[in-house]
This record gives sequence, C-alpha cells and structure tokens, in this order.
Amino acid sequence: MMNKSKSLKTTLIGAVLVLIAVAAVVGFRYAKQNQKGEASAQLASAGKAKGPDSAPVRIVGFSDFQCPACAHAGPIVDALMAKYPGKIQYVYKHFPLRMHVWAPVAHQAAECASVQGLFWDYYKKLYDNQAAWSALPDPMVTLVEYAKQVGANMESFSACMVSSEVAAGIMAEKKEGEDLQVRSTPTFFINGKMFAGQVELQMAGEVWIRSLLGLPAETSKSDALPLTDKVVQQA
Amino acid sequence: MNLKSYFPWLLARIFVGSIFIAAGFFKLSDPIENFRGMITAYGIIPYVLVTPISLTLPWIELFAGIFLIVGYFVRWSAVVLGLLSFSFVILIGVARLAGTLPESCGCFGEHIPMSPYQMLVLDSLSTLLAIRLFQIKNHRLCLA
Repeated sequence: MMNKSKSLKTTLIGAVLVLIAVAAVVGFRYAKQNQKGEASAQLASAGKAKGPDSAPVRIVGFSDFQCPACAHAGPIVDALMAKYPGKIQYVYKHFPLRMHVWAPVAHQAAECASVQGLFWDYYKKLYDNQAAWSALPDPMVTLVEYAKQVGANMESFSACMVSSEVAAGIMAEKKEGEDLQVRSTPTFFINGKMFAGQVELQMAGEVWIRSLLGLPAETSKSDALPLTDKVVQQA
Repeated sequence: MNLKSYFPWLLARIFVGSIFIAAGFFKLSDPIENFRGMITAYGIIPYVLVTPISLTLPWIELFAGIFLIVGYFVRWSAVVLGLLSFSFVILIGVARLAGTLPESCGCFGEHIPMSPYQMLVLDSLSTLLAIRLFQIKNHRLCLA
C-alpha cells in the first residue's frame, strides 16, 4: 500500500514537471508569434530575383555572403532552376550574420550593384571568391575592385556604399527573416514552407517543389542523386 | 553525504541541467526546420535519422535537464545527459575529421551562437560531471 502510494506520488510529480515544461514551450512559442515587428525600410527586390514572376514555385532565400554554406547553396538553386525550367523564381534576401565581420559591407556592396542591375554578377563574384575576400584584414578595396570587374558605374557605387538608407534596407530584410524565425543561413522559403540549410533544400526542398508542381516522387537511381552531384557530373 | 559536502554536486546538477534546458528550450521555441538544418549541416548523420532526432532530442534535453535540477530520478537523468554530451563530443570530432564541421554548433538553436570547439569543451565537461553524478548513490534535495 505504502509502495503503491509512493509510486503514484512519483508518477504525479513527473507528470506535473512534464506539463510545466510543455506549457512553458507552448506559451513561449505563442508569445513569439505575436511579437513580429514591422520592417522600417524596403529594398527593391526585383533586381535580386531570377526566373519568371509567373513561376508556380517561388523560392525566397535568406543568405549571408560570408557564410560558406550559402556559397554551396547557390549551385543547388541553379540546378533546381535548370531542372525545372520556367517553373521556379528565386528571390535573394539579405541576412548578414553577426558572427561575420565583413558581411554588412559585402551585403551593402551587393545591394549597390543591385541598384545598377548587376546583382547576380556581383553575387557570383562574392561567392566564387568568398575565401579570398573574407580572410582579408579589410576587404573594401577588393569589393570595389569586384564592382569594377562587373562593370558598375563607380561614382554611383561609391555614393551608394556610404548610404545609410541602403544599410537600413539590408537590416530591414534581415528583420523580415527574423520575423519568419530565420536563425541561420541559408534558409529558404519555398512557397512559404521553410527549409534551413543547403542539404534540406536539396533533399526535402526538391520533394516539396515536385509536389507543388504535381510531379511524382523521383524513384530512379540517377534521379535520386543529390543535385550538386548532378551539377558536377554535368560540368 | 551531508548537505554541505553535497553542495558542489548540487551546483553540478544545476550547471549540467541548465545547459540542456537552454539547449532544448531554444530549439523547441523555433520552427523545427531550423534544428533539421543544423543536424544536416554536420553532414555525417544519415538523412533518414534527421526527422526522428529533430522531433525527440530537444524534448529529451529539456525534460532530462529539468529532472536533473529538481532531483527527479537524478542518476538516470545524469545517464541520459551524459550519453547525450558524449555523443555530441563524438559528433563534433567525427565532423571535424570529415571536414564537415559547421561554423556554428547550433546547440542552442542560434540564440546563443557558439562554435563547435566551444561546445566540445562544454560537452566534455558535462560528460565528466554526468558520470560523477551517476556514481553518487544518495543524492540530496530530490523530489523523487
């Protein structure tokens, strides 16, 4: 009788602890959902989009130019767009991480290239040469050099590089991501569904894209290869 | 063991438990996709395990952390947390050898950015403390 009572007490204590923990998690998540702020500035996103506006699949990617995983994600996005031609629009969103000391200036440079319609050329320069410029003690000269190489008007580019409005716009895009609970880069939203990381984009993301397009799941061995392997094979 | 001599081990329970409560809570407070992304970032965990790990691990961390602090099945909570800490040490080590170590460990769901190396130190310490907490047979200040 005594043992039974003790066992019941122990079970009850455990149940109460579990309930308190679950309630704390659920309450915190609910409170966070109701705390979304409003973006204070807006950047034109047209220059940072590729693929048709009418595409049935829209991938919005929050990315950081100094993040190595983001550099790996670019070819996966390109492979998806090549595999489903005309079906995907990709929109790039700035998400400079605090841990990356040169990310803010790299994003500002990319945005300044975007103003001149050169975003994707500059994007390629930054990711292709990421290891080089991100390791420099001060990459500003190199970032300006990249702008020259992609054919930017340097007078406008230089003026843009000191614009606080552009910097605020970049941070507003980051805030947009934070409100969507983006915590790491790259994070993608495919027609609103979140996929964090390049592996998730490649694995679960493509499955989701196929379901959006009404296509059956891939079953053959060659189709099941990771997209990046296909890109390597095609190269 | 009297209460005074037990005091350092109470601190150890609070230390290890707090780490795992924070780790579990922050992961659970974000969309599960963020944690899935962090698991896949290590590049060595079979993809088929990503869903079960992402669904269960944060809850195990949270519950075992709470249990350890409040003294509910302390020794078994210490075993669970010790095994988790040790598995994280192995994970970081293997990912380092495989060259797939991510920049951020993702242990606290990006709320507290820590490098895998910082986490390696913390997990090693947690493993040792958990082993010692398991060895202690009569814990004080326990609920059950």
